[in-house]
Amino acid sequence: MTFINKMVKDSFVLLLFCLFLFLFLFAEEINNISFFSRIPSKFFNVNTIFLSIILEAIPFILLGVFVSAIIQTFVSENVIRRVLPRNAYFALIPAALLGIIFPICECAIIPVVRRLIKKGMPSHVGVVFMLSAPILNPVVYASTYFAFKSTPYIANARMFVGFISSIIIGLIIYRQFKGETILKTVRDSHHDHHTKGNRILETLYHAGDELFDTGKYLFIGAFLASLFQTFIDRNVLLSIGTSTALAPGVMMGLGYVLSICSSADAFVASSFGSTFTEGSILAFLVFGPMLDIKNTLMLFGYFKKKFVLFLMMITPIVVYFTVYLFQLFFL
Amino acid sequence: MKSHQSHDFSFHHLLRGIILIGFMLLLFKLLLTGNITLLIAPKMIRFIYFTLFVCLILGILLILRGTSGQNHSNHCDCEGDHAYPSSFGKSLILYLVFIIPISTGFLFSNNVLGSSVATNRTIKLGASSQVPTKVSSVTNSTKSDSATDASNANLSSDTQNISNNQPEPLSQMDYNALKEKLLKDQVINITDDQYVNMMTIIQDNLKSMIGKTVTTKGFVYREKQFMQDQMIVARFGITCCIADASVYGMMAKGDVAALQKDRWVQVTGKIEETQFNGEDIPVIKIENLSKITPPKQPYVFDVGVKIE
Repeated sequence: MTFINKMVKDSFVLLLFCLFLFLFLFAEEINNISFFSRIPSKFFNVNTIFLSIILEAIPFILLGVFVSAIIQTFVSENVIRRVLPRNAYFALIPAALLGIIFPICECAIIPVVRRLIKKGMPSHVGVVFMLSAPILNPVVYASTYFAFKSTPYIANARMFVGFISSIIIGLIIYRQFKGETILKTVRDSHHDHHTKGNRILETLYHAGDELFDTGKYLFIGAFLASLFQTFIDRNVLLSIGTSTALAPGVMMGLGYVLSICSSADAFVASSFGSTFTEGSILAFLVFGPMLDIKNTLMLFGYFKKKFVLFLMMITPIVVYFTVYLFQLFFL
Repeated sequence: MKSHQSHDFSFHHLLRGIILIGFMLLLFKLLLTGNITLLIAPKMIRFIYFTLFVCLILGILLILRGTSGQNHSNHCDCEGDHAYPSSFGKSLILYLVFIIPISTGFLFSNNVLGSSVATNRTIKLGASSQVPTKVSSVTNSTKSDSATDASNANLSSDTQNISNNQPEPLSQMDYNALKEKLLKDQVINITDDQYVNMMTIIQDNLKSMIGKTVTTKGFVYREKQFMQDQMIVARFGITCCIADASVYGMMAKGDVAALQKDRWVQVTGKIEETQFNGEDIPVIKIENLSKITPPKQPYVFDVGVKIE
């Protein structure tokens, strides 16, 4: 029985390999079959946008996975404990500014933060790092500055609002989840006494497993995002863009479903231009990198459901009010 | 720790290895055919090389791990975190999530975005300080839509040499020099590599651009409320990947009613000023219009300006 089982599985794997090889060699010929011209063009557009999101995100997820593996192997719990300030509140500020030194985008940050929290970084500090690093970093600043060349203060405002809201969210998380673990599974006893085998090989095995763990969420998230990208008519949004109260909310929703990388979203935001209030553009630029479809799914993969739902509830509220107050005082 | 049956592990490793190799082949093919630039901007391609390399290594490793016969369940020190699907149905769904996109990637990666996507996006026609307040609603997906998209789809077979031609970001000085040049010249040819910068300069300095002769290439695109003699010569501008594509373009005026949308054209004419949705925008009064074959690189890339 097990023998047959194994036969079936092996032949399945072999068949899959042949399929990939066949597609690699003959995809153009198959593409010319007239059957495909009957598929609506929307399908191809979804597929194209989906692929491009995947291709853009995978390298950075790989980087994140490797950085997390390196932290796992070379950074000890003691180092983290020593580097971070004792005071739970004071530790938030360096965490929010960490992105300036480590410009990590929102795809790469999740595996890294999860590893840091496992290594003993307090949860709320990790969350602040996770939310602020994709905004407060030099790459994102430069692209925002360029995209809004005629109104350069948008770039500064984005940094400022991102900083303030991530700190506030960190405080709320601290109050709510003090001492609780927010990760899905934490098994402490196992970590330190693990020395057998080749370390590099282990790291690579680990990276492979983690790539698939994260990858499935990325693929599903990217698919949903590409559906929204293809079917949402952004011009419809322009009619509500002038409302000060409504527009930031709408733009946050848009930032969430479009799932554009934080180093490129400024250009998309600038194409909305002055029909939208500056506050709503800011809300889009701050909320989008913090939460979007593809990273929500990854969060659900790593963190406890209760925590992710709480974060998804609290983040839009905090960003909305920070932007609102910012508008009142500065714009 | 959950108890897994050991043979399940090796099957999963083998399958994952094959999927990684498949993904690697997809990347390799995209690089070989040059179709990669229809998905992401050239400046991102070095990351693709990195991914390709890593996928190859990891794929081979996983295949070896899956076929070696040893069933260490403790290779990775956080094995408990990595969930392997427990039932056959779950595995099937999990792996189809990867297998289907890789397959469609092989088959349809040469698709080029056209008008049907442009109608869903906002387009900038005037100066950045004042953008049109247009409200066009539902997409009009007509039959010609899918037909032209399909004809677009097969244009890129030998796009080998274009993969690394994304220009470097301009320095502020170069940008100013470009601006001076455009203000001085009477004849402007909008080139692909500086497309976005040139467009921005023309839109921002409309008053001093009137009367100049301009040549631009792009696909035919129309807004809902356009007259018979109006169209936009449009391009998609890409920053990192197609997901952040935005539409750029200039309105053109002339005898264009017969032109199908998504048709690639080269337009030459004098810049004039017109009103569109209560805003001053440049318009080309067409003197010369020729239909051209779609360029190998249909997208323009947003190169940006360096900040010192």
